[in-house]
Amino acid sequence: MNPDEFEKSVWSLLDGSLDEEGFRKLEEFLIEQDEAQEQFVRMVDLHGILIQKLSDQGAPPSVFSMDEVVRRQKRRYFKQSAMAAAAVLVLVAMVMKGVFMKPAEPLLTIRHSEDAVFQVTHASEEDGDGGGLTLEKGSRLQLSQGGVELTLQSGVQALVRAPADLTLHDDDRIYQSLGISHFVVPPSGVGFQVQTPDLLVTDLGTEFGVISSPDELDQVHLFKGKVVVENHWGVRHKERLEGLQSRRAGPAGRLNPVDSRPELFMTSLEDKPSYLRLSFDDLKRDEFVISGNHPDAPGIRATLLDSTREDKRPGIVAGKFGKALELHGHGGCVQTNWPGISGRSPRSVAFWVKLPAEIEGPHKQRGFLTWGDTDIEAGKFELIVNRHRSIGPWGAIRFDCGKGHVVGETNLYDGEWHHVAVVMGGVVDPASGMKVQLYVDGELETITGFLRNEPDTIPGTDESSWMSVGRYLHAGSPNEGYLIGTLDELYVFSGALTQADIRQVMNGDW
Amino acid sequence: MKTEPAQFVSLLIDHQEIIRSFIITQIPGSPDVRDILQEVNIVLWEKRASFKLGTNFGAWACSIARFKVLEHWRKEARRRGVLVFNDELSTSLADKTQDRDPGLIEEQREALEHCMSKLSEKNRRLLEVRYSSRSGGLEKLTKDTGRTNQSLRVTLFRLRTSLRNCVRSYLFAKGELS
Repeated sequence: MNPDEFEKSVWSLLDGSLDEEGFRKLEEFLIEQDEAQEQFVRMVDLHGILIQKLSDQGAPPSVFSMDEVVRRQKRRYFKQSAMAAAAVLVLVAMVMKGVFMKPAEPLLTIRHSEDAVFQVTHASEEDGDGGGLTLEKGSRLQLSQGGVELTLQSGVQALVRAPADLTLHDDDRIYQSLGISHFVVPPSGVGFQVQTPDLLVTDLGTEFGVISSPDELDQVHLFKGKVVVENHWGVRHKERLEGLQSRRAGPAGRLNPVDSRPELFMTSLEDKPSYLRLSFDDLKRDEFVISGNHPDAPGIRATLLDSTREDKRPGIVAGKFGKALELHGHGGCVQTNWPGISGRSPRSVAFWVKLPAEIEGPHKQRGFLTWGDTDIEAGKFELIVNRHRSIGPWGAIRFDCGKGHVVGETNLYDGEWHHVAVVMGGVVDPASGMKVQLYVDGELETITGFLRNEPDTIPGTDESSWMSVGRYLHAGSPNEGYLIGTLDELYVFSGALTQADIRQVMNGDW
Repeated sequence: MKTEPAQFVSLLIDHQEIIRSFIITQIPGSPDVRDILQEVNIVLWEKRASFKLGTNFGAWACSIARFKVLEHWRKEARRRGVLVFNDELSTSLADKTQDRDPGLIEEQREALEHCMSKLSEKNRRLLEVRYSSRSGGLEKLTKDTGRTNQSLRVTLFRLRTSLRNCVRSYLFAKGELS
């Protein structure tokens, strides 16, 4: 372990973000190196001093007797213990179909899509007797996949798309730190409020949508009626909106107009993850048509980039279904303006591919699809053809996130069509213990590899790449990394598909 | 020799950082260090009669802290999957932590004060957000700055390394380090 790695490991450990493998490596290093132990203790000292200096806890006041201090500490500790005993209900509803409950007492009931994955946390043990499908004051809902429909006692309804994080503050106020939500407020619910990290939206009898994300400033989109929206920051601008108006929170506290985007918001519970589809059937002036029901689909451009060699230009050929894209390396690929699915959100990618049985010249690393940040560990999402036998079977599908990879078993270099699918963030693969599954022709691959950290894709940085198809990001020269092969029916899903779903996609039945 | 209450409180306050560092080395990465430190302080006060003035307060306090850490790990941390070093390493780290002079910690604090005064406002704020319980974590800072969580964490790592080097240089210049 070099000094840089050691230092990173220690700080990650002290921040509580070092995984077990990293922890064991650090432990082994510390056992072997007495000097490293000394350094570790000094780093712990610095960490402790920073905690003491910058936290809100100070030394006991000197004007009180120590017995009084101990009595106060005991009272505070008891209160903290009581709160720490709050019930946490974890409900994973991968297969339940639209269960609907409408009890008289709960402030809020939940109905969810078939593929929804969410967690409900209640503020006290007494709450949440509805089997995890109700919220009371202080309850928190974290949605990682799919959608939910929330119904308040007042009749307010909300359709929420994953990823989302909401807390029910009161019977007429929801705090949304993350999510894209569509609210319909009946006359009985006027005065209902949605609070986000940037905005407070107060309903005056209406239908509106709220977007909150840690990566961007929050937005409100009004579809009908009236709302009052206020920015929490700076000059705290407040405005009354009517009709079809939308605003984004400005960093200085203003409210800036933005285009109204009703297509971003759910209008009903969708039972399947939203998706993008690149069929390669429709090429207009070097741009492929992107279809699908993902909210970003209408704005995505997929541009066919030409090769640097005249004899290696991409072509449109007969595919598995309709037309397909034939690539010959040397820069030919498809570049989009879409940042991809970010963070740890579940996702699935599926496509048909035919790779040649023989390739002239030495075999190089070739990529199917990529997005994210290549400089930060676990920051990219990349699908490539494995060429390192030390990592896994040659020619097999490989998922790479940066300092972590998972490899399948089937050699795809055989001149035949194969359906390939990668699912991230769904169920844990029992053999590998990782939340990544690889499929070839509808069958689950036996996988090898490791993920040092859970994949946490980072779009939107200077070093990030938007989604590109037929390309590998970390190539050594301008002409390396580009796919030699034929692609058809590429799908990207905003959720983890099951094997049955993948077979449906493979058969063209999605 | 019996320890007067005022003497005991003085020793306890002087050794807070040593006890805290000891707890961190035993359960690194646990978010419960403050709670455990509070519990240890209560127990130390209740057992003050058993401490002999003139003996090693740090070693005595850390031996009691070790029981509290073990108790916490059994009840809470193990259930939550908090990782701990093996016994050999834990013991070695405990020995290195408990026998240090509180005066050295005080020197480090002074050095850190000096080094933090040289930070930019932006970098100081990042540290405050990371270490302060009021600021709600890095999420709010990502919104203020427009930077991603990962990007801020990379900067945090570089910042702490830089502070550590600065503290070391300061102490070396003062003759506190060889």
